[in-house]
Amino acid sequence: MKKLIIFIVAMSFAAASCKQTGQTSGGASSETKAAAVETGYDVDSLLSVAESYVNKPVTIHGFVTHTCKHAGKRCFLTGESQQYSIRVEAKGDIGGFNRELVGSQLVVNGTLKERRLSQEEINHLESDVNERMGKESDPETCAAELASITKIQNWMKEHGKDYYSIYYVDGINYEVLD
Amino acid sequence: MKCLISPGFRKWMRIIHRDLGYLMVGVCLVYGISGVLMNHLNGKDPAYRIEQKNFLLSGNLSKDEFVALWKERKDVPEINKISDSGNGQYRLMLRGGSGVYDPQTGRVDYEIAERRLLVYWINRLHYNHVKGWSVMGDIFAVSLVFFAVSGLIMVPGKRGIAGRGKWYLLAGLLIPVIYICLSL
Repeated sequence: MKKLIIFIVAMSFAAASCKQTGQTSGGASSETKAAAVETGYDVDSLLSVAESYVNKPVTIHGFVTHTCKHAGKRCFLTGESQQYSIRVEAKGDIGGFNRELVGSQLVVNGTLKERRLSQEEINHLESDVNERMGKESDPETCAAELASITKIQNWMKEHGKDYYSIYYVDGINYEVLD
Repeated sequence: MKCLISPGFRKWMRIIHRDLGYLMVGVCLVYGISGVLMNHLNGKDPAYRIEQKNFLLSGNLSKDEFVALWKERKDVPEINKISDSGNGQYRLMLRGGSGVYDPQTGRVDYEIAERRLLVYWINRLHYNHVKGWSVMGDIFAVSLVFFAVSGLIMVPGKRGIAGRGKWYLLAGLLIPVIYICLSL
């Protein structure tokens, strides 16, 4: 009996130490994945029509540039141009985004969400950065932040809006494209 | 002073505390070890070993030339995509990581994440990212409460809660209170 228990424990550890490849949320065929890419949006194209998809289901594909170190709660996808990126939250069936996904292309199904930064919030951000400017040991960081804030303000003026939209996706599931 | 807890009840508390304790050793170790690791992240994910590598190729390679040379090498991961990074360099999307190629110097820098299997899985259990683990997590939580309560009452006499135990209990309850007060 003792030998049996030791054997079972040893086998459990052996099974657990088997090398595993990256995790996907399913085992769809390459045809299904290709179809998902065709029907889904690239990050760049989604951002151009994002306003009309808020709170609606979307399929998006892109390359993973970053995953959250703490539990993989979110990742960032970038499009073909690699100019823009979008945040994807690990919700639904997604337990978390593994670190090995960085560099891989994903197809994600989820809901597009919008977070609006009001003029007041942006002004507050700007004054916060200006305050840190004097104290900050790295003034370049502050300058970069101010440049981003200026870009946002210019965009708002050009489009006649009193808010700035940040789009992100609440992911439900994903597939890794080979 | 008459004891409110019968010897028979104490006995059963000790038995269950002991046997449930044996049963929960594994789960305890999962939460304990991953708890320590997560408490000391220092901006890194302990579930992965990050390898940073670099080597030299010819300079001024086009994207196609670069990819062809990359594929000839046996010691590099698969390249998923190569694109301009906007500052004259190429950004590399690799299987398991990313990198940069500088055409001016010919230098390639990349990093790859390699999973530490044991740490990865105990962290996933702790984060409740394993299907069905919620039930086990609840059972463990209830067990911990049981260990706390049974531990209070299972030892009689001067070594129990009626004796020196009450001072240890008071000290233990004060620890989080003091931390909270100091942080206000």
